[in-house]
Amino acid sequence: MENVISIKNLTKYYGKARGIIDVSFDVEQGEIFGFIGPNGAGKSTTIRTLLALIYPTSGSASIFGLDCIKNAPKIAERVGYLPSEVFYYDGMRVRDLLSYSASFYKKDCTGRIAELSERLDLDLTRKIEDLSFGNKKKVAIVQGLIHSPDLIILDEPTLGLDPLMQQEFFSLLEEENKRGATVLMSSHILSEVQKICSRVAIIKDGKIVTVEKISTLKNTSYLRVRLESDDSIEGVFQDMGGVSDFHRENGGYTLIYRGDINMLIQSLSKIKLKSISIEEPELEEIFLHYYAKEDAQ
Amino acid sequence: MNIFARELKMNFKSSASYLIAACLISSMMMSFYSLLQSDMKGFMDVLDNFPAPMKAIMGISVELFTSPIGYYAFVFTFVSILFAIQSIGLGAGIFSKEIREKTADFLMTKPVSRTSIFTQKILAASSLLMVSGLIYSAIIGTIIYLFSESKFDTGLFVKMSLSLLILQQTFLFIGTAISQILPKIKSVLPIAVGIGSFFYAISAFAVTSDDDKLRFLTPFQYNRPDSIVFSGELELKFIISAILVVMICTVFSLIRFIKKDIHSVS
Repeated sequence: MENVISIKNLTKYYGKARGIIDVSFDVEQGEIFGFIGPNGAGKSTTIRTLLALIYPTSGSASIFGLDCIKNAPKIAERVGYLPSEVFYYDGMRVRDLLSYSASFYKKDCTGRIAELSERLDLDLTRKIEDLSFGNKKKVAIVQGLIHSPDLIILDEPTLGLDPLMQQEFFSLLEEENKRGATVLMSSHILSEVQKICSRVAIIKDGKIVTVEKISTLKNTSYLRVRLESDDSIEGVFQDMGGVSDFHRENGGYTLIYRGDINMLIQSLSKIKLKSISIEEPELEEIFLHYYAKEDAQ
Repeated sequence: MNIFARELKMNFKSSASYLIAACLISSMMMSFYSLLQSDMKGFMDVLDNFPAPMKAIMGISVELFTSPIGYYAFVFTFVSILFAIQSIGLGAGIFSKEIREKTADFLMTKPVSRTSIFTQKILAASSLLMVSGLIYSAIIGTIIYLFSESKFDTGLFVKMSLSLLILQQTFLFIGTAISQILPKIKSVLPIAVGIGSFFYAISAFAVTSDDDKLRFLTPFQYNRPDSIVFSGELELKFIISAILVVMICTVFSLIRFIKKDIHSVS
């Protein structure tokens, strides 16, 4: 599969402060790629470098095979960007802002403006400064999609959107994706990444922790095991490979296991159990597990 | 040229306000001329008692006041400060506004190069100032013509108007360069007034000093209207000096603008 985005050893320092260090990952044509990490991890820095808003200290990034910095205007013709916080020119009406935005593209966007604003229930006659944050975000969504971009870059896109509008937004994204658009979406809300993305890069302290398929992250190799027993069971799991986050909880024990399920069953058979539950963990837990693993290293 | 058109629209009201203010100040001060004419001798006596440095700083010259266009050269001293503040403010504002109002992300992720953004913005500001200067000159020229009756020296007035255009453009580019140095301008007007006052102070120092080279340091001294009235000419060395300032400020500002990191708003 052809890569739409290719990031190689991208590093950015703000003076001596860390932005991102040695970030590398690819986003393939047609996928919805999640970019997750807590606030300050480097998600926005990476995205802003891709958009040539900031210059990398070292490394490189390309979109559609073109260097992000050298070919920024050419790349921008095919990219739609939705920032985390939305600011527009006061005094302008929504219609004026969208027309101004459309004037940068070599195509007629009138129909698309009407279609998207109707779908998101956006009043084109209102002044930007009178809009709520959520409505400003809707303007941002429309202006990011009016030119039917081949790549949509979203930085914390659902911030400020109510749940219903989030739902509408996600279905809009899925439609864009079906049309052929590739999506890169950053978020610190794992459930929304889980809902829509096929692959994900996890970033922490400016460094990529892992790049995996959502299905791989969630597959049975990661299991959340909760058990109750009168036996002292610490010894059973202490030296067992693949066990992490082992702790006492509500009178029982909880652990995360990654590995061969048969090995786990073998170990569990040595214990006289009162109750047990084995379930697929939430992505949030996997995410925290990754962080814990990194910290331990 | 969509950014050019947008900048014209965004800065139209403020430019019109400065133009109206400049016309009002000039026409009000010119209206005093008829009063002075009725008692020119008494007025001259008062002026003679002013300390020489003060007269030099304010552009007061007894000989000037014998003609309406000469008196206008004195009026121009005040109006030039207003135009300088407008020009510096416009130059600093067109770039800092996008950062201050956090709209830079919108503009700079569009398919347009930073060089094109810079060019369109600076051209819009330059055009606004040029049109303001021309309208102002046409209005004031008419007023002076009415006072001068048949003695209106068109050539002299055109040269004085040219000196205004040079002053506006020079300060515009100085304002632009300063906006590229200062990390974040919260309010443009205090900066414009501060920089304008700084250059005016140099100007005051230059006219009271014997060192003619100091005049190169401030656009207020490039082709002063009183010098034009006396010599009847624009001084080439100051035209070249203004062009050099504009060129240096343009290259400096463009490089800084292209290389600048646009930081996240949050």
